[in-house]
Amino acid sequence: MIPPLGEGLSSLHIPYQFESLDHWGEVLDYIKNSEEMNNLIGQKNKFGSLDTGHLMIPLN
Amino acid sequence: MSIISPTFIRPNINNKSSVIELFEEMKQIYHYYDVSSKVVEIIEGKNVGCFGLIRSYTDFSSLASVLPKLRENRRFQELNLKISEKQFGETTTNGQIWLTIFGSRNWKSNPVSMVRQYSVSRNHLPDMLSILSEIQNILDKKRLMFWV
Repeated sequence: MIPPLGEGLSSLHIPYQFESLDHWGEVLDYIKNSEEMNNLIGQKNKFGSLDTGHLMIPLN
Repeated sequence: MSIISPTFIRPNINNKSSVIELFEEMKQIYHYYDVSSKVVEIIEGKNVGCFGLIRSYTDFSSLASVLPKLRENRRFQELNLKISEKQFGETTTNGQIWLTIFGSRNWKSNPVSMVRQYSVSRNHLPDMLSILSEIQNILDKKRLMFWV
């Protein structure tokens, strides 16, 4: 997502969507151990720098 | 394409439930105007402990049609004033809109979100999207969905 107005107009927000917290853990472990994924993440870092991240859950 | 508009508040001590009630009431008002929204809590990372109300509009036209209605809704304005006056806590995010340029949201089947924020020159957006498309292809088998 990109902001057309407001602050941080050069920022790019990427929301990854998971079925549950367990699913989040499973996917991140997979990414950490996957050579293919780490190569792609390395390429991504050539074009932008990671600033912040957070994890959120729905309340209802 | 969809338009996302978030508000996040870091509740003061003993004001957690007031923030949740505030967001739940605002959610009902958004629902009345056919705007999808959800109340969330940040449990790790930047702004941990904050609560949020995230709205989703189908496009700029629907956002443009709802904004005047919200301005004329007295109860909504009263609730909004509580946010502006920081009645229940510090507002960490408000009044921003984000335009999705890849994928789509799926709050029902995949309600837990990890949001990563990058600094990217607009010139490099096509390169980033190309890589994200490859990542999506790999992670499809892990039932992960994301949107940008």
